[in-house]
Amino acid sequence: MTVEAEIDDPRDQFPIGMRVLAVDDDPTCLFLLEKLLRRCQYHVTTTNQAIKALNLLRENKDQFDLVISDVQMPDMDGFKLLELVGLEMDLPVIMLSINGDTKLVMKGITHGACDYLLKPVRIEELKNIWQHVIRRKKFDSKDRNNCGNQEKLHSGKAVPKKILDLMNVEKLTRENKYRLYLKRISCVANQQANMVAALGGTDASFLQMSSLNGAGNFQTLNGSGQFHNTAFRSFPPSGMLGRLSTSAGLGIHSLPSSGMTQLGHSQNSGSSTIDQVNFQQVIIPGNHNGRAPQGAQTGKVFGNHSSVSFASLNSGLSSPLPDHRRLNDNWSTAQSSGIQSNSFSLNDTFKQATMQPSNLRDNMSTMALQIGCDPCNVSSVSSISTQSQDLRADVQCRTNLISSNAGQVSNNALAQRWDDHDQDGSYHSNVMCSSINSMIPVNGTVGPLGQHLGPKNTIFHTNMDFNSMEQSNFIDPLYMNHNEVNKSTMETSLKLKQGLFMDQRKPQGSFISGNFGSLEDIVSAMAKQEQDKLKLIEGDFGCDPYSLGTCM
Amino acid sequence: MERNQMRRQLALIRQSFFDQGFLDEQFIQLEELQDDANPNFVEEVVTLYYRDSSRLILNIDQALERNPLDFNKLDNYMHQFKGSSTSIGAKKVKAECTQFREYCKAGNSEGCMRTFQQLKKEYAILKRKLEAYFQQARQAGPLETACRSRN
Repeated sequence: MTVEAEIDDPRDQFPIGMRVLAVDDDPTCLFLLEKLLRRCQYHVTTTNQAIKALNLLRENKDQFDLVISDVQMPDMDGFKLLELVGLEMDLPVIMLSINGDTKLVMKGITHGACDYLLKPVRIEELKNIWQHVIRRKKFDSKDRNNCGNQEKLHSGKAVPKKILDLMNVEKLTRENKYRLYLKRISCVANQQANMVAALGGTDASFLQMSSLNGAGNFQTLNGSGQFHNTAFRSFPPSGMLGRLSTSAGLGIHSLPSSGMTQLGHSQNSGSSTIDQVNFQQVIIPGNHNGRAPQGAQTGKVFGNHSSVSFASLNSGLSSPLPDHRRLNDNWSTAQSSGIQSNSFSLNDTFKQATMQPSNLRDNMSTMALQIGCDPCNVSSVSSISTQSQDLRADVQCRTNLISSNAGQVSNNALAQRWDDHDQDGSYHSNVMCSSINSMIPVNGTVGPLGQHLGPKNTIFHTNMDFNSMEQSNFIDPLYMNHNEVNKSTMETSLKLKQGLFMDQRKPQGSFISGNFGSLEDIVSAMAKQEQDKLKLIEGDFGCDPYSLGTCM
Repeated sequence: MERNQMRRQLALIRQSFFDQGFLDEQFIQLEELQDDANPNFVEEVVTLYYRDSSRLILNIDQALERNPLDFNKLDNYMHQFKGSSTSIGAKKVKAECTQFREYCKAGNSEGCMRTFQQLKKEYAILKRKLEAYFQQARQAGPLETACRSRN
């Protein structure tokens, strides 16, 4: 009305002129809120629909500094909006509600809200909200520094150790990871390719370590390395995640994307499968022969290029994972059964991935394959990944996604297989998975164990666009998994913002065993580098000579 | 003189709102937001409230006619209703909303219906009072803000 700050000096007198977007379906509340905000001398834009708000934000990412939103809205859940905004635009979001239930507030926090206010809001409270903008900016710059590290990784041969070092630089707390994850989403893009190359280059595309939204994911990857093991081993819903998360730290938790959230939630709920699934997905990259993007048009693989990556995968995968006893068995079967399809429609991509797994040798690969091969496999994979709560979840998401795409079918089946393999490193897979998982949540149904992956392949579709997807970050992981297998498809996985770590390289016994280590490193490195959206850890996954050799 | 009297009267009426529990401190917050740029802010908000909530009341009435009752939906409506009522400081109405939601959670149809009737009553009473208040305030003239004395 009158107190709007002029465009001339919006930032000079910060917080005066801070650009706020207020969303509330209740006209009375919105009217009042607007008045209050203007009283604080902010520049206010209001809308009573969450969808409109998203469109406004997407139109111009630099248009606003802060978003205030009601929790309960008819067209979209406030938490979902919160996640999307955090994921896509990385803006601070404040939740508003009449209900101050601890559970709700907690939910707000896990979804990334930087504050939770109770109605009726007092002007004194609104006078302080600008602090969240400043805080986030500071956080951002810190993250940027990390991205710098990634350069190092990319430039030369990013030795796992080096990567580890780089990654270790930052302490990733869970929160940081999440933030990093968010940042990462924005940073993604080239890093992945680099990472992949660094990793071992089989198919960089696969390794896309899409900046698993949470650098944390990577972090966890480093730490746990066990990714494989945990993820794959126990598909038991509750168990897996726990492991995955620890190792991979994929922590999909609260994936920003709405879809992700689901993943995150699922993850938290203990559906280990998801983690595992993610895991699997990631591992697949092992096979990549060479980055041949074959089809993997990086990132887009899933939705768009599905055929591409898979095609390559198929070629690569010739040999089913030898090591993984069960996985291999499964894989082979899976491969024969499903892999051929190049149809990428999300499902397909997964299928492809399954094909690839054979190359991966690692459990991961199997996972990937599985995922790709059949919907069932995929599902199992996803389930595996579900568990990673932390950033790992991201990876998992990915895998889950992948799996879910596959048709979510036998997530469990895959899970079982994976278990057999020793996944010690599965971290990466977790990471990948989480990313996948994260993707999955998009639809909200990640259900690897059938729960998260959300049978909707749509998740992937949406995610497929990694580059553009809001939640897509994870999609890459899926690709990644597949890529691993194919290496070539890796490219697509590169796209994966999430930067799945296709760490799965370790073919021996455990999925990630061999590569895992490298994956881990990569993961950590990736985690550090926020920019790398998708880091394909191609090399790691199944690139290991011991088993991969045949793959590609 | 007469003006002063009117203003004093207005102040008393306003005070009674608080004393009798019709309005709470939130209403004062609204008044504080009123300024030269928005001289009728409070009235605008209240008018908006009544317009929007009447629609809600209609929805709830319809929902209450269904059998069996969809408590989830009713709770959602009431959540909204409560939100806006809180925003203007309608204390009694808000209390009825809370009560209604309790009954919803308990799945008590009878309780819901009873409470809603009570809610509508309170809602109507407050509406009448506020309308009279604003009308008088307009008559008392712009000095009405001076009546906002904290008694």
